[in-house]
Amino acid sequence: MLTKTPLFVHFLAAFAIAAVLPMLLPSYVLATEILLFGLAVIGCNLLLGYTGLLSFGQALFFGSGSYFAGLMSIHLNLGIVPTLLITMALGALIAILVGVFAIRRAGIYFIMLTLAFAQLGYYIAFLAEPITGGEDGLLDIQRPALSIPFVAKFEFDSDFSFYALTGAIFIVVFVLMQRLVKSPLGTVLTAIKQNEARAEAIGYNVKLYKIVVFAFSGSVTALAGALYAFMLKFAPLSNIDLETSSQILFMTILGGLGSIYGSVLGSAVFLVASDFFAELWPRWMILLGLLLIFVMLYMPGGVSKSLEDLFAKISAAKDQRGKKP
Amino acid sequence: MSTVLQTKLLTKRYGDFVANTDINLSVAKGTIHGVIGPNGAGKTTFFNCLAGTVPTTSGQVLLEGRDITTLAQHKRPLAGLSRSFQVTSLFSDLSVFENLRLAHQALSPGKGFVFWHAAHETGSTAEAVDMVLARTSLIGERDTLVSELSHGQQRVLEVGVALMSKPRVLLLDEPTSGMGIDDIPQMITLLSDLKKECTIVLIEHNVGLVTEVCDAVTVLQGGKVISEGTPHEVSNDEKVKIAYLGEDL
Ligand SMILES: Nc1ncnc2c1ncn2[C@@H]1O[C@H](COP(=O)(O)OP(=O)(O)O)[C@@H](O)[C@H]1O
Ligand SMILES: [Mg+2]
Repeated sequence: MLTKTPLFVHFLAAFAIAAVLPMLLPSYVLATEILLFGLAVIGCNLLLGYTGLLSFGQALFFGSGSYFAGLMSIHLNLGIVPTLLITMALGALIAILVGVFAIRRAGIYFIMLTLAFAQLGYYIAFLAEPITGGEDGLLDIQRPALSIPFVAKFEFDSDFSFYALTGAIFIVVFVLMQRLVKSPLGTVLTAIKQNEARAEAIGYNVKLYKIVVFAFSGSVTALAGALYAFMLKFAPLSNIDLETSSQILFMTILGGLGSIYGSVLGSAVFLVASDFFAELWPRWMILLGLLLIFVMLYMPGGVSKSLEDLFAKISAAKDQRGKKP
Repeated sequence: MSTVLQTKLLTKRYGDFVANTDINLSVAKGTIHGVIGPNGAGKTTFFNCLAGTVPTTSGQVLLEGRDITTLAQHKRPLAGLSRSFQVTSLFSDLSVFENLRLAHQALSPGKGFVFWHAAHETGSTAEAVDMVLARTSLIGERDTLVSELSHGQQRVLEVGVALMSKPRVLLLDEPTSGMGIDDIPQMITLLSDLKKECTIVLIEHNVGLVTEVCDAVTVLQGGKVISEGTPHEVSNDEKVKIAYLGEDL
């Protein structure tokens, strides 16, 4: 069972994913996109898959991350590590703000509140043209360098070097999130998802836990948004729009709820399918829609669950054969 | 005998409907205090107020002399008060062990926010869980998913989870509800065993059980206390007999 998997196994797995991905794909750019959206999906999964909170406003965190990181690189030139850490802190802050209000309501009203906050963020970004570039997006973003004083300075200008940066960050976050979901905090989130009333009754401050998970989700998603802006060297307004929210949500459900591996898989399947369909047919969005409908209908639990079931069947079949004289 | 749990003029309204009216209750330390009454009498509502599951409209709840009327529900287990539910309320996709472990973890303030190390499943945690598993006879089901337990076992675990917080006052809402006749003796044994270490307030429909284990009984009807006393006194009270007309006492 995955439950007892030691952390270094997750580390090796993340390393293997980051190492193998570019070999399977036509470009470093696509591989970069898969890993950074994988992070955004992990952020969404913390809320939906682990805590049972359906947020329709993840683009608020993603887009804010793009803008914050882009603005910092243009105006402050801090280097990559401080830029990303500050972006994550700001992402957490915004998420806490949304969380504090949204969790006052449950069900549909909660979902609508997350959506409303994201729409609010969209209009602010749209109207604050002198700062965000409005409809044109934030242009001329440079990728900050990583300078280690007296040792070396790394630039991330090439597709490969930026992929290496994204890969390294992905590995760190992936391992930390694997740790988080098995930590005391992770177990409380699962408890809240399964039975909020009992979680409260045995002594957990459910509201506070929900705000905390929003903070984690916001910071990881903002990190993803920052990487996306640096990848594009540009922060489009669409990063904070409804479609980005629904795309992150689709990837999450596609990959499988409550699985960190599934999160990466969801991002990969979605983006590879989009890429493939786009070459096939200009109306590729229709094909993507059909794929999503197929997965919802016939693969409950997402692609990761179906793969798990398939492996289980194969190994059961092997055992059967092994038993025959 | 000293009073551990007391309510003063406790009233609970839902809109215009008054579910509990001016309830005064005193529970003596070390006793099993029964709360009985026909369906809809307001027993569960009363527990919800005691446990902080819903806010009270007016009146007071005192735990060991401390006013806990407005204390948040999640702080009450640590204050020494815990409850079980009439309708089984567990983490059904988790193991029996994990259900109990979660209740144990909740007792160390701040522990649940730790995200940098794995949740403890050994050492003192495992000891505490195993102790409750042993006394609830669920030791063989340690790793079973709750959804795979029999109904009777789930009812026992329901009590077990409340027990994990080492309460000084334990509120049990119809622990035998839906249990088969065969399982009830097990619950009686458990209750008698628990009485040694904590005070129990017991909502119960099974009158045989109430007579057997309770030291004192309060009868509710229409949200009001209509009778109080020993099980013997109460069952001979005319008002109680009338209240239960048409129901099997
Ligand atoms: N959340 C609520 N909102 C409105 N009415 C309620 C609520 N909870 C309970 N009631 C009403 O309060 C009355 C007492 O219910 P309850 O306390 O569950 O009774 P008992 O446990 O004695 O069977 C019932 O009439 C019930 O409909
Ligand atoms: Mg009831």
